[in-house]
Amino acid sequence: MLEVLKEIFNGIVFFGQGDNWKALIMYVIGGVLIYLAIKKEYEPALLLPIGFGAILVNLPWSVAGIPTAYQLIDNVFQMGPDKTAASGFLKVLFDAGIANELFPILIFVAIGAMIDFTPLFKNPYMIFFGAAAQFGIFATFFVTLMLLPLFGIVGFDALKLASAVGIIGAADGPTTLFVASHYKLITYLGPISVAAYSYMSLVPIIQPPVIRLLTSKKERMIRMDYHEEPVSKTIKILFPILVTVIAGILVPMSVPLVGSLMFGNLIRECGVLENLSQTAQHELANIITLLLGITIGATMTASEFINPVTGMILLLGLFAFVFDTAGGVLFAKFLNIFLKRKINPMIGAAGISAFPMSARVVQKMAKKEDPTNFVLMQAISANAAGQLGSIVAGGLVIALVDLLVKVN
Amino acid sequence: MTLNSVVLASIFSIENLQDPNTELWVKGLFVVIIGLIGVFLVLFLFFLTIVLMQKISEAVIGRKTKKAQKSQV
Repeated sequence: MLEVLKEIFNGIVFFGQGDNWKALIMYVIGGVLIYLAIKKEYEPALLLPIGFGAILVNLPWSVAGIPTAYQLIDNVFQMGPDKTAASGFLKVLFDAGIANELFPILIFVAIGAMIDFTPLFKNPYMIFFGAAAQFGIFATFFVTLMLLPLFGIVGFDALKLASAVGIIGAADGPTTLFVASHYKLITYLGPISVAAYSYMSLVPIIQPPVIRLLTSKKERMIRMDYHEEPVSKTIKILFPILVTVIAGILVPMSVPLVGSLMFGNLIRECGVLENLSQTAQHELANIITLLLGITIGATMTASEFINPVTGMILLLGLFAFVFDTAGGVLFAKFLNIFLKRKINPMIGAAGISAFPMSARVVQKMAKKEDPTNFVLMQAISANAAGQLGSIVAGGLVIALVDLLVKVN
Repeated sequence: MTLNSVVLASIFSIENLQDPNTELWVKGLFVVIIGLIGVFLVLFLFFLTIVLMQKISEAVIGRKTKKAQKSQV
């Protein structure tokens, strides 16, 4: 009788075993993510599926999950529906899209189809802000590397984790996921993704104080000329092809990212694949986002998520965003030392990959200082460059860390 | 040989960097320096690509306009 009851109510028994109470915390975390998605509209397309996935995977005897707290606990539970985790649908999705880096790549095809590089062609020098704003990636990488030994993570494991944490600063979720998947950081995939996507949606809150701190009112009021020049269709078509070739020759590791982004962009710009372009921008983006979110959520098992490293990742992710913004602004201020026609240093902050949110933040701040100042197009140019900068930085970090890890 | 390897070989000793006993901060600094230089370099090449394409495009348009003007004359 006791056995029967135990079998029926094994979910309740589950919470009485070891530290399975942590699953309850994960329900709260999942609930908070769902709340932020619905109530605050912070990246709802991702935070909601992640939140739900986090709840799903921490249910006792869930038949959905990837890993599973309860596979790790005592034998009573080991013998349960062991058809569970191993064959759960989220495990299938994980193997099909995250473990082999496919989902982030497909997202890039969709993003490529959404991006219009025309403003960048009109202000090509803005591309350097897309490089300067990647400073936060490398600063965070280094700081993380110095902190990880405190958590017992050393050697090449530290290099791999620091790479993924640094890339959070790219404000580019798919690149972050790509790097984390590349290094098989399954344990940290949850916190890394949550940090990347939630901070991305918090750009309007994170960036303004940093920009204000580093610029004077006078600098924020600087006006910039914008020349409306036509861009030929040939340039728009050649650009994605040439960029792919250049990146492929110089940084081969960035080819999956650059190649898929530029493939999407070529579909958009070629002018004869309107249906495919629309499909990539809408159906493909939506389907992959949906699957990506819930699969990431399913990596957030209590036993792996609730630990000090998660806290550190979330904190350093914020650090990365702040330093990216600072890097862009300070680079613009540095250029202003040499330039006759000054650049509004706020433009530098738009060099991150959060497109077009960051550009809007900059325009809003410029307008606040001077309602007649219009810097949106320059900011959009820097923002588009940030898309390129972040994937190049991602590819470079992978290439360099791989090089260090190779022999061992 | 990729550009990364070329730059890297000239500045750091790869063997030394790949040695597990090498201090973590040395490896980190290597990634930071070469990474930042690499990002600027690659984006600089993208910049040159854009500028070059624009110049060629302007030249082609200019030539076409001249041709059209000549044929009108």
